[in-house]
Amino acid sequence: MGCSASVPGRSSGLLSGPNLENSAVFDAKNLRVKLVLLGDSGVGKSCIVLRFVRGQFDPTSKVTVGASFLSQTIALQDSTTVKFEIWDTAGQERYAALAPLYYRGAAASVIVYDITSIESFHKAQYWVKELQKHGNPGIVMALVGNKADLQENRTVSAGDASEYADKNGMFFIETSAKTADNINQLFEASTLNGLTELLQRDANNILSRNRKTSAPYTSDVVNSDCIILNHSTTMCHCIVWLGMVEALGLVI
Amino acid sequence: MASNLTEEPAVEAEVPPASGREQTPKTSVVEQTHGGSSEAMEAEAANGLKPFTLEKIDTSNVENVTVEDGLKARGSVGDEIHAEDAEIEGIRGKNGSPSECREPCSEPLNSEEFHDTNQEIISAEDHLKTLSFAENQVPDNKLDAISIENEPENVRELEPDIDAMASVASPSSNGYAGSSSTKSDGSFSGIEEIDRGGTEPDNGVDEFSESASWVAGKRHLNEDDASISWRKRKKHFFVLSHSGKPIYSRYGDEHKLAGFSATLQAIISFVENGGDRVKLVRAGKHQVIFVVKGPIYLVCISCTEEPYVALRGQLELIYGQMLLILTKAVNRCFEKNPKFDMTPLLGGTEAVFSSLIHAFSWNPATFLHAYTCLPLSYSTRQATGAILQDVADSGVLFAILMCKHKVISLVGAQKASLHPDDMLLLSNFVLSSESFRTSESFSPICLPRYNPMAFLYAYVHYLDVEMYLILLTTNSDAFYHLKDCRIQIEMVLLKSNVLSEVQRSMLDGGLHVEDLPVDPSHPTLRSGSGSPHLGMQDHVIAGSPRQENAGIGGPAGLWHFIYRSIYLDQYVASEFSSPINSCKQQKRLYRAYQRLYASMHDKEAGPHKTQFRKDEDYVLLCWITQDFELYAAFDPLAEKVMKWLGCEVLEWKQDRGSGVETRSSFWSGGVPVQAAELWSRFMLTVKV
Repeated sequence: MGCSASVPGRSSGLLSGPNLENSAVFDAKNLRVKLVLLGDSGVGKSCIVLRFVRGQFDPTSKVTVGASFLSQTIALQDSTTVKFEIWDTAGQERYAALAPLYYRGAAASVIVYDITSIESFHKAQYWVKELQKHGNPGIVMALVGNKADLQENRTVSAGDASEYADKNGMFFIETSAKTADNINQLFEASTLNGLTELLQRDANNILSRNRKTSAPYTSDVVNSDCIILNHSTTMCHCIVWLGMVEALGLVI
Repeated sequence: MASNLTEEPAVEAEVPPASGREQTPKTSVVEQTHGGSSEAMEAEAANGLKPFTLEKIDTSNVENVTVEDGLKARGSVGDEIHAEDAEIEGIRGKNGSPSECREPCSEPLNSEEFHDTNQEIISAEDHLKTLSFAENQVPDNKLDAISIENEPENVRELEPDIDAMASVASPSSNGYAGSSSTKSDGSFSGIEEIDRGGTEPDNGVDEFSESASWVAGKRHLNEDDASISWRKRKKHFFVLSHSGKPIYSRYGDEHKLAGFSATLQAIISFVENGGDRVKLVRAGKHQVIFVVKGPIYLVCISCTEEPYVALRGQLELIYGQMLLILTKAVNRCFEKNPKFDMTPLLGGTEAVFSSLIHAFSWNPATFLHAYTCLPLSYSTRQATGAILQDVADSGVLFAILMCKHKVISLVGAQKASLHPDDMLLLSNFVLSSESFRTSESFSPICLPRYNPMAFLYAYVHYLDVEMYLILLTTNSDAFYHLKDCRIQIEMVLLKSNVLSEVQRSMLDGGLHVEDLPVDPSHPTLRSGSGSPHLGMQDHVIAGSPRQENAGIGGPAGLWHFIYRSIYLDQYVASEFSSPINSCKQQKRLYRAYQRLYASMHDKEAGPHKTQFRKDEDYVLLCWITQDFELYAAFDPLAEKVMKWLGCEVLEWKQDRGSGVETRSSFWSGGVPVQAAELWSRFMLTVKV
């Protein structure tokens, strides 16, 4: 069910982690989002995650090894809960080749740079390209300029970054893990907006693709709120929340 | 040159038999030793090597005229350095800054000595330089690399580096007490050496406690080879590439040490050109040890008086740590591009290396090639082993539960065996990488002794502040499975109270010599060979008359011991107790064991079965059988020890006047040497 880690790049499943196969229950009210943080070393990925998950900020830099796994559940206004399964990857060069291990099957990615370091912005662009090439085709990408509290040392203008994000269909936000500015917004608003978009886009894609090719697809009703679209030739699975489908005005 | 052999630097090289190079074995390249007994050992060690002097190399390759010129020039530079040193010392004294405090120089510097040794080194350096510029036409890759590295505009930069090299390698250019003192055990706790346990304010620049805080800011990044403080560090470790690019330096910024690295590379490739391999250069108190691992060169410059084999072993471990992070596949980068810069690949790992180097001065696992377990009751360890075994059966390669550097339990998949050095490097990696403490992690790591070419994937999770679980797998997709395993393990451990037992054991500490059971019926002063319940206090017969052991230490004046089971690759060390209380004393004993180990395992002279030595600090005893190795330290004043060891031995010793005892039969069951199953509280009873 859902996006399987063993067929990277082919599935367009969204609200799923690699272990969905194991979990018996799909519940549209309890979404699970695999999210990966990428970016150069020292830009503050771990700080962003720890601020979001634990509300803490530790100014002593602790170099991440491989990737840390954290999860955080947030409740949306309509009582839907979203469980973020966050992979906080190490920014070091030696781990770059291993990044697919962590972003494979991710529904959302947060690409972080440091607004005081132009190199880190270039590195962020590298990650955007990498994800466009090898990431989950439907992956939601957010571009995040961290360390926004260091305005006086800024070398990457918000305008440039925003323009770049627009060009690549990304959400853009500047945050400060130190002051907690925009951290929750990043996860709540942007990612969920992104996911909504993604839902829409993905559902549309599947539907239109089906129309074009007349390929049959089947839908499994999981419960009264949620169906799974199975595309028989591409083996794509997509969980579609009926409420969302309605809201988006899709016709199935 | 009036210097005696002791002060003369010599290159000791492995010479292939077919090389036909002229070599004159030089007999005593012995350092000044501490205590009469160790002198014999040092001599023994030195005899095993086949040294030849640098002069031999010199004359075979380079014209003398150049040398003479070089000598004069460098001699004066040496003077300058000297004066500078003194000045800086003065300033420091006034400032009184704690980070600058040093042990005072107890003896005046011997300038004659300084020049002698300095010139010896310099003459070699000079040749090297001559070689790299004048002999460019030699079609050798490595030489080309040097000359590319040192393009004409860099020549001037290179010169001071060479001088620095010489002065690092010279005994009198540094101002700490150990350099000129002959007695010197005190020099072990030198300026930058790190002590275990509490901090001692008089211990100088870099004395760190074992607490986590010592890692921070310890690399002195502002230093380079021109800094006085850098030159005075007692023990340097360098890693460089075969083209001379710096990869790692214990002190200072690697990039600023490019010139110095190139010099080290030049020395190595110069000797390699002659078909030899440079192993060791001795210059007074300093040893320069070289290890070549394919395209990666490792160098240690040390005046800590540790044996050559011990320092070499430390370089091997540093290389292993590097492989653990990168695998041997990094060699391919050098194949593609000989001038490949490896430093970015090791970004963020400084703490891993500094923590490993710290371990060289307190963790016996670094020279014993064995690991140690947290004391636990047999049933607790069984329960822990059982749950880990379940996990291992589900496709986990190794499941390791540890508390700090001590193993709680360890299980491997069928046929998979874990080398104790890999254990050491893995636990060092986990303990020194702070990020593991914040959340569960999944990280590629390589076990160099298991497979140096491939990554395994490590799931790491801290169960409490000090206790952590490592699950290793070959499957990169196994994270969620390992996470489930961990949840299962954690549940079982909580239910069976293992977590609380572990915490209690950490508080109780390990085995104390005072608690060793005593067999009161035995006529000689033995300790508990008769008791099957060794170390388990509840089994010590209440009210049994303890030995009158001079008030401190264990039975028969036993102060401390390390028992290593050869088959199990594990060791048990008693806790340090009175009178070995201070960090300084502990480190001194640690170094004494290290020397003992080196001499017992000396391939040329050994292997020995027993060794007995006495100096003013302790009576040291080592006994090796095919099952175990025992290292023990006794009160040097306790005559009972002598009785206990047997008059025969003493007489033998007096007759020969030697510090080294090589007989095996006198110990008829003294200190706690028991069959492995009796040690279940202190060891895992199965080999993994």
